[in-house]
Amino acid sequence: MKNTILSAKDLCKSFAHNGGQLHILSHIDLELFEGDFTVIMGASGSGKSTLLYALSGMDRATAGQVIYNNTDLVTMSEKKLATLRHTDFGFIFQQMHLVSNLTLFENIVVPGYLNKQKTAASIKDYGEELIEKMNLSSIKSHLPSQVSGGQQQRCAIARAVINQPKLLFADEPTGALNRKSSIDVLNLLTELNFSGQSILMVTHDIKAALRATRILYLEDGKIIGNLTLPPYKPDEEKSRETQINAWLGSMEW
Amino acid sequence: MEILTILKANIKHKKGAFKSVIILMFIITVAMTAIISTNDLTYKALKKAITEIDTGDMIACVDDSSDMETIYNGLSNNKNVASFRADDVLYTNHYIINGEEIENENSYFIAKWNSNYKVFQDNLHGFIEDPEPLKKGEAYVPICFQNLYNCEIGSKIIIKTNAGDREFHVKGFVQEPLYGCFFIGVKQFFLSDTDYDLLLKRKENTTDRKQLIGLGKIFQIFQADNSNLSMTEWKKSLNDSSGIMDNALLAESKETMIDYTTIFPKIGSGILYAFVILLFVIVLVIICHSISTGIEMDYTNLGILKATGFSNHKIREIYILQYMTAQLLGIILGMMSSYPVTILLGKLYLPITGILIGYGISFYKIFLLLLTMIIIICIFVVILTAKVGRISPVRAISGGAEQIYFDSRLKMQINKRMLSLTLAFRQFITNKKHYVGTLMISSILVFFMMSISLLANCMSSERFMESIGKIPSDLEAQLYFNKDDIMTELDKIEKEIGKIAGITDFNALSMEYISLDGVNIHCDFYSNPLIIEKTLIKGRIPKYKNEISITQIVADEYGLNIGDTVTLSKENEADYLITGLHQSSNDLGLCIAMSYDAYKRIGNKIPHSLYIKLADSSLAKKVTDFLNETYPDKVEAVLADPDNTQMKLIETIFIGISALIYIISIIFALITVSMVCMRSFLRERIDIGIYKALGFTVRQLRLQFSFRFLTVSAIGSTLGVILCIFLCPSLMKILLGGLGVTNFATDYTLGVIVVPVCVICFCFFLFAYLVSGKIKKVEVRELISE
Repeated sequence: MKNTILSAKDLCKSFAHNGGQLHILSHIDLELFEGDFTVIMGASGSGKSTLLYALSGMDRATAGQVIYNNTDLVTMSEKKLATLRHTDFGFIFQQMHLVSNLTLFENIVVPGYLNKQKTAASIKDYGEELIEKMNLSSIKSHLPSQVSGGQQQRCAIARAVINQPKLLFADEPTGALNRKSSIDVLNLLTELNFSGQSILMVTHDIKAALRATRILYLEDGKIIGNLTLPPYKPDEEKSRETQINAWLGSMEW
Repeated sequence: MEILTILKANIKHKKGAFKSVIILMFIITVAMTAIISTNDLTYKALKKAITEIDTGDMIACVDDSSDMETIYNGLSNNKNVASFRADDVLYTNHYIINGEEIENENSYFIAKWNSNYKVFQDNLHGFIEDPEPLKKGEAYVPICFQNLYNCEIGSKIIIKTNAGDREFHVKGFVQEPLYGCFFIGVKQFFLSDTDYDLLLKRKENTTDRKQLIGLGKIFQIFQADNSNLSMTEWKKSLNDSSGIMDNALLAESKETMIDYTTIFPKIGSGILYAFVILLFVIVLVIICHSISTGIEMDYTNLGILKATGFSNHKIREIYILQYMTAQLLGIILGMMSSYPVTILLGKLYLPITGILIGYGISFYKIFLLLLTMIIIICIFVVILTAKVGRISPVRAISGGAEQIYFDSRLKMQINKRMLSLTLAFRQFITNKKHYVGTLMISSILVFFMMSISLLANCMSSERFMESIGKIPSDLEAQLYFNKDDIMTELDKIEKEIGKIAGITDFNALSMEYISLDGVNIHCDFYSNPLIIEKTLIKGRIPKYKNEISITQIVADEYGLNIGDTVTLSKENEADYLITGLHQSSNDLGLCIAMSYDAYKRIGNKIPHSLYIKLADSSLAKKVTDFLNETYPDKVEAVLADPDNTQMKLIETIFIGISALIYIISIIFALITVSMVCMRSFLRERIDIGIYKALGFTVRQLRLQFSFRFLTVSAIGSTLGVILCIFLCPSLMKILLGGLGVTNFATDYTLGVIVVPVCVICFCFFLFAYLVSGKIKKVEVRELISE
């Protein structure tokens, strides 16, 4: 029996639109489990990223609850949410969003510096370890504008895990990358998951979804499918892809 | 039409920059209009008032003991004189005004009431149409008495005469355009014919040597229309034909009197003019920043406009129209608001000049200046928008400007303990050029705030009063000794006082107009010429009998320098060697100084004023009583004015000007920070989102933003301090030259440097923190690309 790390109850998100309300997420109930690599899939405009940001507290839901550590993120103060972002959660964006005037190494360690429980030296050490792991050592003093998209995304992953978050959120992390860089990034995420990292990732790429241990399918703001998978093994990739494709087909993807 | 549509859209979406230019132009217009109009109105009102009392081109007061026949004949036969008249006047040495006892040689004229002078209404808003003639016991006094002696209607004036005291009450305040200025030592007030005649009789009955009331004639001499002589030449001509200058107790040209009256408004205006010029430079810097960052941020939109057929010329036209609209709005609002400010300034000037100015705006002069400003700004905009021509529509549409690599040698490590500060510094370093404008503005503001603090400190200090020839003292005395006894008696007094309270400074002095190359010039002579040391700029003090010191203004006017020899004359003639240059405000800096021993070679006057600075000031009263009791007929001692009314008013004026400059500087800081912050905020919106996503709180981000402006303002302020150290003496020389101060003693105290720097840094930090409140509105979801 897995422990629930984060849950959503009756989660709704809507926007004012043309004088009315546009409902993006509609009464979503969901649980995320510790150690899972959960992937959210769905067609464009189905509300995948909106769900990711609502669950992570980056965006506030219109109604419902997002429970983390017995606390509702929907009603949590901005200050507490900020603390949560640099202690318990990590984020990876599709467009990397590295700070342009910080070096790769600085981009990684800056969120670590926000963590009051850790010393600057321990953060630097862990930053060095991550930079090594992400294969960025030779370019760690470069600025984001001086490196490739893949390198930027690897840096973004390192930045997201610098505080050893309990839950890592990734919004289409391979969306802006070429094939090779995508595989590198996915390998890193899989490796992190194998080491116990809980991940929630949004993607529309089946190659990325292959790494999941659980796939949720979203349509018109509702979860209509839930597929549980065994941990990823490279040699089973083909059969896994067939299985997922068949399942997505049943979802009319 | 298309231009109008884009223009409207630009104004709607860039309200911040638009509003800033309006506010800045508004401030400049108000300040400029008010200063120019007030100055023009003051000059106009003063000229009118001087004409109304039929003032001559030269005013000379001559004692009735002089050879009047020679003077009358000399003036009548001088072809350079159109006409002249001589008005009777009494002058007094000892009087008590509203309880304040004053003893000063020939400093107050008493005249019969002349209805050509105007009497102020009680509220000082205008003049009484038909003022009542004075009755017995009543006096009309100049308006400056209100500040000098806290006089009100009904206040008591006692005139000491040899036949007893005469008491009068103030009936009203008059506009006295000749001697009514606060800073002119000589004053004139008016009595009824009966009182005047009574005082005259008391004067006539006096046989005492120490005469308290004197009779004189004030000559109003008009220069002939066909006379081509300069004022200096004309003065010489008058003296040659009549000897009037040699005999005059006081002789000044009408223009000099006007200069005296307007000297402080001129200094005040000079400061404000300089400030307005700097504000205009700031406006140019702000426009420069606004346009260059605007083009950078609107790169894509401008590319689209070009792709849709807008020529570079048309896009630049839009920019010009946009800034011109803002300027015109600011100017119109400024012109409308300047009227009450002009009235307010006029009221501020009234106690200083004694002149009630009318209402109005010097429209044509201001119109021309504003037009020049508009043209300069338009040329500036044209130059700055040249880079529009370099925008490529293809590149703009395909993703804007090229990637920018940030790198700098000044890179500072990001530090956990000072995270906000180090991140702020990094932001500043990597966007240096965006902060150049802010840096310049903060340095200009600090430069000016520091300069005004220096000026205010200097003007209101005892040191300044000393440096322009005022003698600091605990007590002052009028002396009535014989020429033969005076030096022996002074030695005796000095020794006696030394035993009672100790002496720091002891100086007996007097002044006289003497002739330098045939032209009258103010001369101060001292029993102890060491006092000149305090005002000496160059050379050495005139220690010996054949030596004098002159002011820089005299040196420039007569082409003289240290080492030159001049011929001076009064009763006798003698040659003197110039040994030094000193500064003095007497006669607006046109004066010379020497020892009493040196003066004795040409004149018969004796020192009549004694200034004593005691080692123990608390014994001043005891010493004063001792002198009055020991030398009842020879010495009349009084305690020096501890409040120093003159210094207090100067201090008040400069505190006012400083406050105004500080307030405007703070407004400018606010506008600058708002503008730059808003632009930075728009440019860094994504970065702010990223930082928020990483767990930075709004407060941390705002602090980071504010620290950046603190860094910029701190660097700018340092530059401002350096600028001030280099430029302030020259600026002050220009401003104070008219007052006779050619050597400005800058006193860089900690307060002078620290206060402006702290005010500017704090304002930049605070305003950046307030403006960055918008960070709250940045949502992390802006990073989402669905």
